[in-house]
Amino acid sequence: MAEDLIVETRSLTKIYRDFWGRKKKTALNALDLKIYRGEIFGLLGPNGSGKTTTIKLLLGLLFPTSGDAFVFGEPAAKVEKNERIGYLPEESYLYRFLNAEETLDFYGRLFNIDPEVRKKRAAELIERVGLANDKKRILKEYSKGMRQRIGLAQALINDPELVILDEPTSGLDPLGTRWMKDLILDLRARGKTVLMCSHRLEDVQDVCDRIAILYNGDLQTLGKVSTLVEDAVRVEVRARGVKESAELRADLEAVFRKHGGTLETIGHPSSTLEELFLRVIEESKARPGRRYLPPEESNAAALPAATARS
Amino acid sequence: MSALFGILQLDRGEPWGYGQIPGLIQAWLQDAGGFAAVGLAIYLVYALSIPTDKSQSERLRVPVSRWMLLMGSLSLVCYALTLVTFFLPQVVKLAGRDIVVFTPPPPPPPPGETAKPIPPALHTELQPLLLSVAGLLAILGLGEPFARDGFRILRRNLSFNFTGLARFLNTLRGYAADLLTPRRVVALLIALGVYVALGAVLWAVGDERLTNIWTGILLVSVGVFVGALLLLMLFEAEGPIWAIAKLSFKEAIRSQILWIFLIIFLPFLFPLQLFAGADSKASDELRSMTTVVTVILSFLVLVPAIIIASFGIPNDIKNLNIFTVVSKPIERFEMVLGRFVGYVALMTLLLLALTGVSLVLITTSNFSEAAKNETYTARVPYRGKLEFKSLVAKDRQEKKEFEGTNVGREFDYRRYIAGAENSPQRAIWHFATVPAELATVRDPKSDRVRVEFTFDIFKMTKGEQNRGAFVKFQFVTHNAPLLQPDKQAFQLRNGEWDWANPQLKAQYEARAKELRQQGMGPLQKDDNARPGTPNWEGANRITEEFGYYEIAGKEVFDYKPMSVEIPAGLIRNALATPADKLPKDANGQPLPRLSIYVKCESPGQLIGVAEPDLYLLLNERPYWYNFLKSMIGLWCRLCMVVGIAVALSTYLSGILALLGTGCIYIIGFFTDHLNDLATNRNIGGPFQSLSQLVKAEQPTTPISDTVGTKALLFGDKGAAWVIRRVQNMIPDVESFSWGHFVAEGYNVNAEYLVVNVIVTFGYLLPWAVLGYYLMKSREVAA
Repeated sequence: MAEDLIVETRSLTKIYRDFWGRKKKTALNALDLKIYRGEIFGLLGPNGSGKTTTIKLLLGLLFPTSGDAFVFGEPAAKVEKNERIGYLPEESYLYRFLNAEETLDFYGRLFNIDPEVRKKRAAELIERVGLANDKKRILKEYSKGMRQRIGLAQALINDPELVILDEPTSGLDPLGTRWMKDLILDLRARGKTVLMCSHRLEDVQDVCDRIAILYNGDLQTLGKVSTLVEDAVRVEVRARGVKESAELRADLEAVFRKHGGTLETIGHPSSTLEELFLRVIEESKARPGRRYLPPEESNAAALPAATARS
Repeated sequence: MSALFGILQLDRGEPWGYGQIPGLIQAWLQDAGGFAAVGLAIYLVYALSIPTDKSQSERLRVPVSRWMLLMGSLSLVCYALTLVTFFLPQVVKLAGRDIVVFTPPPPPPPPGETAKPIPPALHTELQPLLLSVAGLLAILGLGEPFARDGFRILRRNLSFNFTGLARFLNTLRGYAADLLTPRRVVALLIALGVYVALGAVLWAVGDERLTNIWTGILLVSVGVFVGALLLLMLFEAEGPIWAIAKLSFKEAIRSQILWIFLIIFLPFLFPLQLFAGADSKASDELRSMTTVVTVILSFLVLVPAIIIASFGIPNDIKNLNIFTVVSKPIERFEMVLGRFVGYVALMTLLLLALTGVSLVLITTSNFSEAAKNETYTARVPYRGKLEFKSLVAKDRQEKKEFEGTNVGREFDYRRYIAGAENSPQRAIWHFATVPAELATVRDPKSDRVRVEFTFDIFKMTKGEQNRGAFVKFQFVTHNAPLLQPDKQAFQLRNGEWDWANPQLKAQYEARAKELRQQGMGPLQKDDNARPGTPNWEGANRITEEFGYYEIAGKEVFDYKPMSVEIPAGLIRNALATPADKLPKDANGQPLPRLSIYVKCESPGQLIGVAEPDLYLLLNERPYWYNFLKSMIGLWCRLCMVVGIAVALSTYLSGILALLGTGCIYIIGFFTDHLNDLATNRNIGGPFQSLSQLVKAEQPTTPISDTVGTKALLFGDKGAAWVIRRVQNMIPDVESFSWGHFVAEGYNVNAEYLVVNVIVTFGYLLPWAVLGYYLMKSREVAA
């Protein structure tokens, strides 16, 4: 199992201090964490809870005040470990005067990847993140979502074993968010380990295997998502082809009473807004054109032609 | 404008050559070692504050090896021993042997006098040796992590194979495919066609100057293009440094700062005549233009270099680009090196382009013949040692040897000899040896060596309008030495210095007579022997035989570079004797192979001379070549400012790095003043000055001998010590400026340039170590 342990922190603590060494804030307090190969691990918490600090400590961008961090069994300060890590920062902090191809070429060179491999991989990634038509434009001209996409491409240029994503869906529209989530799941399918932090809970819930919730630098809870969010005292029953009525309600109450429970609610389930949005977009792609009409226009369309002209 | 190169030389002394390298290394070990010792102490204290005992990461990041501790301890011991030597006498006896502990430094020149920098020399006394060893140990200690990481970085970034070339060709193909779209190809072809057509028109019109400009611009463009390709090839090499260098290169080009700067200031390079001083003499035209061009070039290259280099890393940190770079498998110092290489490469290309354009402008300008003769060349001088002599000391009124007269001009640059027909005063240049290349026989009728000189004339009487002073030269080898006259001999010979060997003189005169009879009258005065005439062959023969020649009645003008020609036979005579057979003087020293005696013959006039004012002309090289060589000095300065800016920017914000670099560079122009402060020379130190200010005393008021004053003076000594340490961080900018050599038409020796490059490397190394530690200890994401 030791080789399957990808990330480990031991009492990792970070205290920010001012110029005179006075304590300003404890960003992270004695964090103990283990992330294993092939899982998607989510760090959750409100702003300032220590998520990004943890990531920066793992990457060696910050130095621990005490405790230790290991990635692939190597101390975080060892730069060689970065060979196997891909990192997407919260904002896509890339060089805005480079275009997509130049960006990937530059980051590929930092990994000393062979030019031929680099070129091939860059072309594949640009295609994969959907920027093939914009690869010659400089990043300054990109939208936030496009920058996030090229940022992800640079994080994958070295075909990393561990992908660290800091707020990966930040700035993305629902389509982009879905795409990003699919890509994260795809990474897992390819055997990669993903460590992501986000405060968009639905994203984390959708993709993460395990999560840790941080608050004020302290680890509050850690475990499998399915286990943590499961409501063990309630049972959900879904049915199709029946109409909601008082009779149905009475029958169901009787059944639940028989099994020692009570009926809490009965009604039509609603899908998520994300699902609605994606469905509308998919339909629009299939049949382009305006679909929604305001009430007045809808009425006008219903009137006889002569009335409508007058 | 002064035509006197001598002033330039005397102001700072001879530039440093290979002879100073051991001294330079020792001085570097002491200075850089002192900083390294302080740095090592700070590092060890910093390491103590880090929980390296608990964290493997921190142990890796702030390593403290046994080697560092050992070197630090040994260095401390050496510094302690050095401290002890300050309390020892100058010489101590140890095991029956005298050991020189230290040699006191020469006192600084009195206030008001120019302080000439003392050339670095190797000191073998105990104190400087201990200091050097202590410094070396501290450097070895502090430098251990730097060297370890440095070797790893070098291994990763230096690959001696053809991979880079293959990558370069691939990149080139990529660029070509991207850039050479059909529309661009057409535009390029049209532009080339127009340029070729323009050239054809100029050639047809027959305007030589414009055609030369056309050709020059073409050559410069091709040169810059080839340079750019070579740089691209370099940047395609394997390793992160080259990737970051390429990024810096692109960033600087695309950031527009450079272009805006060039667009605003480049036009100042063109109307050179506007700056070249319309009221100057015809002979100063080229001189003025060269000076202006070199100043503008320095400005155009150094200012944008400082700006770009100061903001590179701080902008990375500000825009958080650094997150995506240092999270890759690169050493942080590779980022620093990459930035340095990228900026230096870009600005070198710019320097190349601007140098080419300037050279085209200068070489195609119309100058007066006087200017061309004086400065459109690169003379290679061979200088001797100057001494002044007159009657022997016992017969002089002052009862001491003549040292030249001070007429109160130009501080103490020049000393003067009085003019009179029977003046015993001589300015004598001694050449301990003479280069063999001057003795090469070519054609006996024109075989000669040119002696160039520029004298200052101080007139006691008005004299004649537009006339100079008359001077007599005597060129003698060790075979025909002259005798310093006493009063009796002086009266006997009517002011002339006699040959030490009268028989030889008689033989010389007889031989001259004989040659004259053969149609080869050898003497300048009696036979009008001139190069290219049969008489010159006689002159060559007689000088080769006897080692004596004289030129009398040479009219010289104030501050005008002039020359006389002497037969090369004289040099052959000087070189004929093996070194161990050279006759010795009264002190047992071998006589110089050649001496040139100068006498002023015009009554009421004084001739002012300094050592660099007269020399044997070894060679003359082309102006353009000298101009190009002088740019190596500017390139060294470019490396320095970029190095300082990048090192400072690893810790400071962009604007502070810019200010810091600018200040260090500008202070570098005032090293003389800094030297005065470091030696409390002119008006004492800051504490003494403050005391005088409070007491409303004049700076010249003698200080009282009280305990308080002594305390103040002690404080001043401390302040001077601090200023001396600051002084070590300031580059001596002037020693990298060769513009005045080119402007005055003197060759910039390759030796000086090699020393320039070595000093630049030595100067940048501590900055690199500083940048390494600052970058390593910095939390880029804090």
